[in-house]
Amino acid sequence: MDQPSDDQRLALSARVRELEAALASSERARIAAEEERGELRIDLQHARERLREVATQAEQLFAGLRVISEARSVDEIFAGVLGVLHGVLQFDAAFILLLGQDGASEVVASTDPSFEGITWRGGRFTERVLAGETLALLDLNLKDDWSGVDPAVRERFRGALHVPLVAPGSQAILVCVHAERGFFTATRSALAQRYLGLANQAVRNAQHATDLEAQVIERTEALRQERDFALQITMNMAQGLVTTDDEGLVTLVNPAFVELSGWPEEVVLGNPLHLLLAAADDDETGSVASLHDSESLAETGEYLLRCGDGESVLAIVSSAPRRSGGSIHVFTDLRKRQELQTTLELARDAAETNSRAKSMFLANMSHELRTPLNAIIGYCELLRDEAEDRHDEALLEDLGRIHTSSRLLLELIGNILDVSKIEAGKIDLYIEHVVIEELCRDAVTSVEPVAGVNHNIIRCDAGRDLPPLYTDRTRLRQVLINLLGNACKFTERGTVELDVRLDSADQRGPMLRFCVRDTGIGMSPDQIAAVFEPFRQADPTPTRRYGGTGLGLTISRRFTEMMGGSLEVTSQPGRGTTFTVRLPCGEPTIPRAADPEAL
Amino acid sequence: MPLKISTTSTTDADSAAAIRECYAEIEAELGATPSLLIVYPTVGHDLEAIAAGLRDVAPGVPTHGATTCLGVMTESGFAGSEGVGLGLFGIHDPDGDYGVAARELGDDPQAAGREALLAAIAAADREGEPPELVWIASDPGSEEAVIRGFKEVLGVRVPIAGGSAADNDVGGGWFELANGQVHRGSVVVTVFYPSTSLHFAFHSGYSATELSGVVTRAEGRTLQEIDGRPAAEVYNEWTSGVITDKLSGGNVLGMTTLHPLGRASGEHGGIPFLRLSHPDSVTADGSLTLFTEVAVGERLIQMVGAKEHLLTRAGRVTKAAMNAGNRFADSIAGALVVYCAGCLMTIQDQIGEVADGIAKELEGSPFLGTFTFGEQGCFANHESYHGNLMISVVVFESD
Repeated sequence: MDQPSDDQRLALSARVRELEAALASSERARIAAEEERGELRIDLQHARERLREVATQAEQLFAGLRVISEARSVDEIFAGVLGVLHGVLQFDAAFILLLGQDGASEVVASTDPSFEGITWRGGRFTERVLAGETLALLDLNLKDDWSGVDPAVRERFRGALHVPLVAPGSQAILVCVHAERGFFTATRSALAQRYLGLANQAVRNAQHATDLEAQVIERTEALRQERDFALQITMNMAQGLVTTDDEGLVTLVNPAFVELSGWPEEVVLGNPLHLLLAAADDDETGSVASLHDSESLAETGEYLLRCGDGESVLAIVSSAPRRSGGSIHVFTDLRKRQELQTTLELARDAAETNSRAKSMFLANMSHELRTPLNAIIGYCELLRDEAEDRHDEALLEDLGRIHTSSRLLLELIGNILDVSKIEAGKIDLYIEHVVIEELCRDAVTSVEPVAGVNHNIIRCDAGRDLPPLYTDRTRLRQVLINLLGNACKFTERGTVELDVRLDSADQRGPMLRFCVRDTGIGMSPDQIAAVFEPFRQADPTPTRRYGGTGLGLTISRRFTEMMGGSLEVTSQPGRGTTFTVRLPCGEPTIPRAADPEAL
Repeated sequence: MPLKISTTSTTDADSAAAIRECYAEIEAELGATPSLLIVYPTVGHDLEAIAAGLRDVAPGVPTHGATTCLGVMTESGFAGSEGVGLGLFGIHDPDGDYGVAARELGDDPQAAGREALLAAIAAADREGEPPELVWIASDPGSEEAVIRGFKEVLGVRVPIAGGSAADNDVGGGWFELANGQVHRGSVVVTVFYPSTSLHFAFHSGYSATELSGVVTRAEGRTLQEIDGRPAAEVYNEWTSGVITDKLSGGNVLGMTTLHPLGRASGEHGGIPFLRLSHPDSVTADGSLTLFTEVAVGERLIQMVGAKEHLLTRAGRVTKAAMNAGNRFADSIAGALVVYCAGCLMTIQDQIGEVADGIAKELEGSPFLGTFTFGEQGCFANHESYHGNLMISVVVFESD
């Protein structure tokens, strides 16, 4: 065999190198493919492992969700949370700590008796958890918050996880512990947070349900009380009451109806109500049928109620639909109402007769009293003149007391006479043209002595260009003197002012306004409300202090009203009082007599 | 208020100007003073100027940083030119808490880790409370001890992630930064108490082969024997002779990048998590030195990788982080990515494809990636480790 030539050897060598390179390249590709396959296998296995972990966690969380969703109370939820999380977090022990506003703490659920009754010191770490952070601890001994817990417990457990919890009325923390230092990683924290988000919602739901239950109980009790109250009213009301169902059949009657109709309850119940009724105008069918007509159920009408004794009773029947269906009918016995009305009318007539008689008596008596009293005053003045001449001071003092008392008595009798006349409608007005300035000056002059006693300044300002006034000069003067006298009595070291102006803005037409203002003690709203009532002053104390009959303002107001005007008062305690008389300008339309009932 | 993240990068070699401009951009994007800043400059920068700049523009803002290898990557791509680059990550989260602290590793890295962590927690004003994430940047060499220090405080379940400081040529020129100060030989710790959730993933870009053995002699990061034989010899057999030329001793870092050793670190759903150990040299006695500790009794699995996977793996890890929280990119505010510098050196100028892969998964959300000499991360079983040739990703939800 020929030896290969050099060229052939070179070609063979090149071919061998080429094949070796190809082989090496293939080997690298094979290795790369192997590695890729291996990596993919590893990735797949890791993915499976993650899937298994996630599936396990999801299963545990679903189981936990079922547990807490079936729980009916917060305590059950707390116990369920500990049971479920044991599987999820693999803790060695756990407890739920309630923290009150006062810093007091209480373990309300625990998987280990060592934690029952522990003292929780709290601190900044606890505050952060309560603020919403989920925090792990490497070692229980590293935070003062744990320093109150038995050292033996802190020796048994190292790592801890603290998760904020919702609790009704207080703050709560779930605490998980484990013997291994740093056992609770971020992954476990995230798992705990995920589950406790659901648990917190369940606690809120449970609390909401508890609140609702309490509300239902409370509302039920309130309804029961309302129902009892309604029943009590129904059974005790004087009017007859009947309820009917949608078909008009009687479902309930009260004792008043049984008494009114004379029918026993058991006879009426279940029967149509319209069988007992007839129209008051004897048109029975039409009117009776209207009781069942839903459109006329709310109407009120008069009906004849057929009674058990064969008689009929006239009654007003008021019908109204019930919200729950059917109707309610109230029977008012017209016989009783008519009897009552007659009785009242008789009583009123008798009262009016008595009142007139009383007024007549008082008017006559007042007249009979004033005549001798005037004589007493007159003789008293004569005796006083003689005593003065004799300088008999002791007698003068006694006569002065008699004179003063007699004048007061005369004033009282005069006022009573006025009131009696007003009540009896016996006051006649004498209408004439009144010179306002002269009238006011006269009134002011009359009360100046009273003003001087209390050191008051009294002023009168009657405006110029006032329109003519036609009224009863005497009555108006009496009114003004009364108002000015009162003002002077209830003011000390102050000012009393009579001011007369035209008031064109009054709705009744142009009016003359007489204002009597003082800077005296004033009145409260309650006192103002009563000031025009007979025999009343601002209050009993001033009555005694300031004297007077308590009839002056009553009479003044009545006189003013008779003259077609009004008398009003404004006042503030300690700030003074203003009485305002308004009288119409021109010819007044004067009522001839006062309305006795107004007094 | 939603959590907001902004990132930026520059290749400007003027360190003072670079940090000022980057910060201005971050602040403008966030619309507020950041709650936390993370900065990754290369060793080509003047670290003191960067620290001074941070003190000046962001006084009082917690600041975490470490040097990165050759550059950084963001949603805009790789930023590194002639060994100079800088990336800045800003997070605005007024409802969250963040704290940064640093401690010198000294003779007791475990204690340093513990104290730095406690100081960071105190700086966040959350004493006693486990953070959602511990982000770390340490001098390479004692990361396992530092993590042990963390676990003393936290237990084993709090995720720890981050990356070791790096330089451009494994020359030991790395630094750390914390709160406006430059540190060396230290560990910087940031604790995250964000107002939203975060998710993470920690993977390698390698596959296990059927070759494995048990450590029969080791000390710290020196693997002396596997199954009773010199470790370098066994490793050379498993890898079909990738270090044949260095069996008598020497640097093997570049040769072993695609052939790390894997160690089982728990499992999830029956699939073991493997963290990687990267052999960097052969000693005269036939031992291998690694960038991680190994312990006698540990089973070592020969891993194998391909350059193609180093390009695509970061995007897959980012997606895995989002999957861990069952989240899509539209709910992600941003991400932090740690990518092994050894892998970077292997793929070299194709690093832009890595950044593109991450950006594609995040659909435009900002991220900052650093290139490290050691990666720390948390597996899906919530166990955190230090490893080599790894990719660690943390994604932050926006609300």
